[in-house]
This record gives sequence, C-alpha cells and structure tokens, in this order.
Amino acid sequence: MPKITIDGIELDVDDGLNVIQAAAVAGIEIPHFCYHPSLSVVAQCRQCLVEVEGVPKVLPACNTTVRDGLVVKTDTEKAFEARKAAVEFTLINHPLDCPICDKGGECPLQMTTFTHGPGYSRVGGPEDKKVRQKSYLSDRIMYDANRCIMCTRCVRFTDEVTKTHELGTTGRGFRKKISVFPGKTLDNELAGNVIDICPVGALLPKDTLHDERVWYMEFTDSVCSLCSTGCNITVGVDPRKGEVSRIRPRINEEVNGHWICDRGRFDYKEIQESTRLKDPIMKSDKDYEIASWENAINGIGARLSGMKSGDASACAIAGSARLTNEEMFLVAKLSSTLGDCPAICATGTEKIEKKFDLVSNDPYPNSAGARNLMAQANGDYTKTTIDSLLAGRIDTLVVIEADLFEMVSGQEKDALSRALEKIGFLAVIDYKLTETARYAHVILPAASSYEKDGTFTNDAGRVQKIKKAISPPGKAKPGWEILCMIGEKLDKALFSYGSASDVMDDISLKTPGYGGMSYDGVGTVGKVIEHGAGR
Amino acid sequence: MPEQRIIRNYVDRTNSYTVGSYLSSGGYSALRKALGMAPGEITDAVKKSGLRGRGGAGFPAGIKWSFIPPDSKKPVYLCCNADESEPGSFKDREILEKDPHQMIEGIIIACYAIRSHKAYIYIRGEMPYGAKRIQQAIEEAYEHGYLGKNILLSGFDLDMKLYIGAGAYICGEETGLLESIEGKKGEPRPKPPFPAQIGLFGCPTIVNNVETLACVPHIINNGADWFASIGTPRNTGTKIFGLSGHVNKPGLYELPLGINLLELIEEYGGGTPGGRKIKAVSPGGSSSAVFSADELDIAMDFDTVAAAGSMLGTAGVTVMDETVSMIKVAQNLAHFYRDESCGQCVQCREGTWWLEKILREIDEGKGSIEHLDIILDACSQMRGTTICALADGCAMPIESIVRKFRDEFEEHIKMGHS
Ligand SMILES: Cc1cc2nc3c(=O)[nH]c(=O)nc-3n(C[C@H](O)[C@H](O)[C@H](O)COP(=O)(O)O)c2cc1C
Ligand code: SF4
Ligand code: SF4
Ligand code: SF4
Ligand code: FES
Repeated sequence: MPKITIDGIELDVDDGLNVIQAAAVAGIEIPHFCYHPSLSVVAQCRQCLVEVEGVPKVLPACNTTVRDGLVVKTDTEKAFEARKAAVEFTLINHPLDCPICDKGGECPLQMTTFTHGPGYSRVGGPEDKKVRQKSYLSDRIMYDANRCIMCTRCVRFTDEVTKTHELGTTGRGFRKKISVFPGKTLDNELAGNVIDICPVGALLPKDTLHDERVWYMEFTDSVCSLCSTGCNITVGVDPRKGEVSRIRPRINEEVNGHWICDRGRFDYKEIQESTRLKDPIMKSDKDYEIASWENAINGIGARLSGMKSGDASACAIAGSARLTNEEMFLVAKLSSTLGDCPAICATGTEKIEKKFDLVSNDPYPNSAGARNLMAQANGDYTKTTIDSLLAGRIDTLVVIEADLFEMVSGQEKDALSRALEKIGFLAVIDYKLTETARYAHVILPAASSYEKDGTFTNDAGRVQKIKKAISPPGKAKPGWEILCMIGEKLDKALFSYGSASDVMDDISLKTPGYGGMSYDGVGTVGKVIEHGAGR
Repeated sequence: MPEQRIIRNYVDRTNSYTVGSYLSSGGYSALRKALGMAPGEITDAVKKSGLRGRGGAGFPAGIKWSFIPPDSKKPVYLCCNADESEPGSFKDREILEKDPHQMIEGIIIACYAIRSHKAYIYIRGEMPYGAKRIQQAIEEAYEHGYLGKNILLSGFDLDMKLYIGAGAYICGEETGLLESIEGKKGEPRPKPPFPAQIGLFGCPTIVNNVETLACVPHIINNGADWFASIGTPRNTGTKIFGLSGHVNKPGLYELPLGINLLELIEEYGGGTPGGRKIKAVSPGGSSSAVFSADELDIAMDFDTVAAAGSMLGTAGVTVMDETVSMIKVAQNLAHFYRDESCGQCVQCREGTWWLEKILREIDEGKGSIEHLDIILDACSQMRGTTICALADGCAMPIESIVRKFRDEFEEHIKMGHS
C-alpha cells in the first residue's frame, strides 16, 4: 500500500488508485469532468489539475497514479488558479443557461463553477459566443452542442461499456461535437445512461425536457422490478405532480455498477399510466360496485374461513414472481393456514430479448425468492393446480399480482375463461386491471413496486430492498398489508405484522438461507442468501 | 562563408532522389557498417554523437532509443515523422523530395538499433510530390535488398510503409501521429505512458523526425566524435535552417548549431529587402516566442534560444520587418492554432478560439486595453496545462508578441482603427 500525502494529510491508499480517488479517501474533492470510475482515463477536460512535488507543471489528477512517497497539493495558489482558469475556459462558449437547463441543481459544471469559477465573465454576453444547433441522438435523447464540454464520457460509454459504437466526435477544435455515426441511432438498451454520466445538460431525456427541477424532487433508494437482475435505483418523485418523474441508477458494484437499462429507466411510465385500480370493488349480481376495504376483506375472509373448515383442495392461491419476499412468505403462510390449499406461482413464460449481460432474460424481479419462499409452488405443482382449475375442481381462488392468462396459451385460454366464469369465488389483488380480474368477485387495489416496502431476491441470490417512494393512488394498499388483513380474518395472531420489515424478521427465523436476514442487514447494497438456498 | 553541408550535400544533383545517385555518393555504406555492429553499439554511438531530435523538442535521439525495452515481447515500431506542417518550417520537405534514401537508410539503421521490424513514414497529405518520391525510394530499397527479409544477408528483416496523412497539423504531434496511423482521429494521447512504453498499436515505438534520422548514416559513417565536433558541445552537428519572410535570399541553409541569428539573416539571407529595419524574428517555427530586433545577436542552438525565452523548435526562421503589423501576426497565429487544435483540452480548444476572437476585435479597432491582460492570462494558463504542446505553441508566440509590442497594441486600441 503506497503511502502518500495530499494537502498535508498522510494516508495509505490502495495500489493503482489515481489521485482523484486517493484524494476522495482523504475527503478532498478534486473537480473533474472527463474522468469516470467506470470508463477509461483520457485526461481531456484538464479540470482536475493539481501540483505534485518535484514536477514543475500542474498535472491532471485523473492520470496520476499513486506511488509511495507521492506528495500532492491541491490547495496551492498555482493549482487552484489552474483549475479556476479551466472553468473560465470551459465557460467561454458555454451558454450559461442554467435557469432553463434541466441539469441545473445537479450539474458538476455548475458546482465546479461555484467552487472555482471566476464569478463573472470576461468574454462578454451571449452574442459573443458561438451558437450551434440542438439535435437528437435518438428518439429519447437530446444533444445540446452548446452545453457540451467535450468530455467524451458519452462516446467512451458506447465504446467501452455497450461496445455499440454509435457515437464519435466530429470536427476539430472549436468545431468539434458529438455525432451519431451515419446510419446509427443511440438506441441500444443501455443508451439512457449517457444522460446520467454527462457532466452538463448536454444530454437530456426528451420526454421530460423543461419538465424537471431537481430541487423539487424527493429521492428514494430502491431496486428495479423489471427483471431478475435487480438493478439498484433511486426513484425521483416530484411532489408537485405527485408522481414518479425519474428513475436513475444507484451505484452497486456487485449488481449493476453505475448503470441501468432503458426499460428500468423509462418504463415506470407504463405502470404510472396504466389504468390503476384505486378502490376495492365487489361484484353484486351482475354489477360492479365500489366497496369499503372492510366489506371487501370481510367478504374474502368469510369465504376462506369456510374453506378452512371445508375441502381445502377446492381452494387455491396464486401469486407470481412479481411479489416481494414478504408477500410470498405471507401467501405461503396463508396457504398453510388454510390446510391443503395450494399456493402456486403463476408466472408467465415470456422472456426478455436482451443484448447485454446487465439485463436478465427473466422479466420477473423475484424468481429466486419464489423458489425459496413459495417452495411448494414448483412447476409440477403449479401445472396440476392449473389443470384442476381448468377441470372445474377449484371453487375458490385468490390471485395476487398474477395474470393467469399469461400462463396459458391458445385453446387453454378459452378453457380458462370458461372455468373462471363458473368459479364460485375469485378474488384478485393487483395494481391494474388484468385479464383475470375481469372474472373476479372481489378486486383489491394494490400498490406498485414504487409504492411499497419489501425485498426481492435477485438472480444471484441477493436480497435487496425496494422502498415506498410515493403513496399508492386512491385507496390502494401494499400487497403485504392486504395479505395480512386477509390472514387476520383466519388467525389474528398469525398475521399481525406491523410492517414489511417485521415480516422479514419472521422470514429470517423460518426460511432456509434467509437466516439472520433483516432490513438493517440488507442495508443499501443488499445481502446474499446462504449458499445452498435456491438462487 | 559557404554552408556546411552534410545532409544537403547532394540535393542539387540531377536525379538526386534516385537510388543510383545515392549509391554513387556512397549511400547505404553506413547500413552495411551498422549491420556489422551490435544494436546497442549503434545506440551508444548516436548517444555519444550528441544528436538531438530535429522535430522541435531537441530530445537526445540515442537516449530516446534506449527507452525501448531490449527484450520486448511485443513488436517494436519506428515512425518517421514527415508531417512537417508548422508554419515557417520547410526543412524536411527537401530531404523527402530530393534525398529520401538518406532518411530511409537512417530509418533502417535506427530500426536495427531498436530491434524493430516495421517502420512507418508518416507524411503530411499536402506533400504528394514528396510522397511519390518516398514511395519510389522505398520500392528501390526493397529491390536492392535494403528492405525486406534478410537485409544484406545480415539476418535482419525490416518492412517499411508510407502512410499519407489527411491534412492536420496535430498529426505531427507524435501521439496524434500514432492515432492517425492506427486509423483514428489524430488526437494526442495523455502521457504517461510514453510511446517508447506504449506506442503504435500498444507496442513500444520510437517517433523521430526526418532530419534526425537523416543524420544517422553520417554518424555511423564518420563516427560519433566527428559529429560531436560540429556545433557546440551540447548542441552537436549541423542544422538545416529554413529562412523565410522579409529576407532577400529566403531558403534552406545547413549550418552548425550555434550559428549567430543575425549572421544567418544578414550573411546567408542577404538582409531585408530595401534594407528595412527588422521588427521581429520567429526563430524556430510559428510556435516559438518571437525575438524583437534587439534580441537577434544570439547563438542558434537549443539551449541558448531556450534560455532567451524562446525555442529553436524546427529552426524555421521567419523574419518580419517594420512593415509588419504585430497585431495581424498575432491574430494570424491564433487563427491557425484555433483551426488546428484537436479540441480535447479546454485550455486549447477554447483558449485558441478566445485569443483569435480578441485579437480579431483588436485588429478591427474594437479592442480594449483590458483585452491585453486577458490575452496574457489566457496564454499563461494555456501553457503547461494541456495534453500536448499545441496550446503552448499558440500561447508562447502570442504572449511574446503582446509583451514585446504592447505599445503597438495600445496605440492601435486607442486609435480605434482597423
Ligand atoms: C502540435 C505539434 C506538431 C508537431 N509537428 C511535428 C512535425 O510535423 N514533425 C516532427 O518531426 N515533429 C513534430 N512535432 C514534435 C513531435 O511531437 C516529436 O517530438 C518529434 O517528432 C520527435 O522527433 P525527434 O525526437 O526526432 O525530434 C510536433 C509537436 C507538436 C506538439
Ligand atoms: S454530451 Fe455530455 S458526456 Fe458527451 S461529451 Fe458532451 S459533455 Fe461530455
Ligand atoms: S437490467 Fe433489469 S433490473 Fe436492471 S434496470 Fe433493466 S430491467 Fe431493471
Ligand atoms: S493541447 Fe490542443 S491540440 Fe493538444 S491535445 Fe490538447 S486540445 Fe488537442
Ligand atoms: S478529469 Fe482529469 S483531465 Fe478530465
């Protein structure tokens, strides 16, 4: 471990670090634009200049590797003046339109200008700057060449991370800009990440253009629910609008590094814009009516209590790999409380067509959780249960976050609708109106994954927390809460959990592989289940 | 006093560029001699000769060669830098067009010394004539067994390829050149690593200037001591000076390093037309700080010129007499560097743009006195802060012009005319 000194602070640092990283260990921030920890070092922006003892020139910290005895000074007049000048140069042709720039408030150039900038311009006004056309790199991403500071992070991202090579620089010197290669567009599955890594507002999502102000937003750490990778994300909510307005990656080197895919980034809108269920609904005679939670739960409770004493094999509960670990645990618990009532995992068969390792082809966030927590819900068992449903042998069915029509194909779809038309009792719990819900006697509105607490077990066996970023619409409630409400009707003591975290504490006591698991233990980066449990 | 011609000795001969002409004056005898020596001996001889790079920086060639790891597992490359694009520099061009075999022989010897089996000659795109001559010379060298497999039955193999640039000054910067040969945009690489460690295609590489390599056969033939005896102790050998601007006899003059600048201008260049007063001299290509009229009594070698705050650079000497507007000179320089900046470094991309804008405004009569300090600030922050020396090359002459001719600027600004 090399021993180095930065601004008089002596420290031992890991081999191979550059001076930006080493300074961060000492709590010293060296401003930088082109350096990014997941991309190659190009030392182009020349913002990170520092003094190194024994070297007459200032050096870029990003391209200076630590070695034993290295003495770095970031706070000398010479180093500071060099960085200050770099900011002034950077701003010469920068439009400084922060008030209408979506990056404002979270812009590294803006922050560096505050810490280092001259505070006034020696160039003149806007009429003294070169002006260039805005363009689009894809349907989703806008490029503003005026704001671009030519750090080439975006180019390196497409060269080094996705290796799709859509971007390059064209032109020389002050004419240089980012261009898409002829015949290409920046639409690979990970393309949206360039928005985050752009250190200025030169690359922005088109759909929210002039629609976001970061200081109004509230951010919640969570996990993506759109495939079994479980990328770590932050969910940004604009309380003025009361809706999710952005999803951004949250760094987790064990899972997604700095990146997420474009489904994870943009598809929240589909959930948000789908027809959301907002009230409990009960069917009376032929009509549907809005009901109170109390009446709806009582209705389900009464039906299930009847089953508990009667023929449990005529009853079934269907969940899916969309459920959280906690919800799965509660589904299993409900099924065992009901005796022989099977709990199946009604997960569809569709796969994601994907190009990159980051993305999983399993579109469900909790398939590993299902294997561990709904252990009886294995494939054969599910098949037998579906078969008895189609054969009309199941008379009471509770479906939570599953659409049975996604599981069957062709002719079976008709058989399924005939069976559901005839079924004695069907309760559906979901955030949107599914095909299955159309046959339900009771529909309960559930929270989406942005609206509830819980955990998923990703395809590497890592248990990770999703967190409520926003309240569910109308009277909708998180699935785990709904399951507890139903469970309490069967056995009050068994289902009186105060939070999703309480459920996890119970899981840790009862489920192989999850021993010792708790919300604290899972923390912000997750915790891997014990070896041998089904991953 | 006649020139002291070593490299330019045969350039005036008819067909001087052919292998026949070159052989008739003893060409390729140095190669024969070199192939009988150990590679290390050649590097030692070049070190001992004191030969310093003629591309601009004056770095000792033998020392540079010794940076190549002798047991490299990867191939080693040599690139001959024939991009000569610096305004005021035209010394390499004559070698390329009139005596290319001399340079090729130097390349072969250098490759043998550094154990390279592949050499590139990177010529600027605007020299089609030179490119044709080089291509012909390479083919002749292959035909005569100086290139290819088992050169002169020594067991040493070398291939040589001509690479024609697409027309960018920045491709003369050694790592911009490497990028260009690799088929990319000519954008200099941050150093470290240096080309001798990681160069062309990631392999150890030496980049040398045309004139540097052309010196090598003479050193081998006549001995390191002979070469070291020419010039001054730390600045050995002859140097081709390219004299241009307001002189009666512009052209190339090969003289020992250390020649007095005034003597060069007056004796060899025949003074200024009409005997007009000299106003300024750019001593080493457009990137060098200018000398004012009272600074011309100076020895033209790397160290003395550097000590005087400029650089010998390419030794392209441009003389400007009293009819010249230093404001236009500065603006013209800024314009050139602005257009040639590769655009990676902010100090260079934006600094050259800014300097050009301010200097144009001053020239047009729209300047202010504060502009002069902005120019000096910008220049000082463009120096030593960027990936390559292009930004320095813009800042140094402009800074020197504003400092040394500040009165002219101030007067022009006050008069407000264009
Ligand atoms: C902007 C710029 C342009 C350059 N152009 C040339 C050139 O055209 N020819 C050249 O030999 N060296 C040029 N150089 C210098 C090279 O980088 C390099 O130092 C030289 O080729 C090394 O050769 P030498 O050691 O034989 O002098 C240039 C440097 C810079 C910064
Ligand atoms: S668009 Fe953004 S990321 Fe790309 S080069 Fe410009 S500033 Fe850098
Ligand atoms: S890769 Fe999977 S988990 Fe990651 S953002 Fe995309 S859909 Fe979400
Ligand atoms: S100094 Fe100028 S030419 Fe050299 S690398 Fe930087 S931007 Fe390019
Ligand atoms: S961060 Fe070091 S030069 Fe850009």
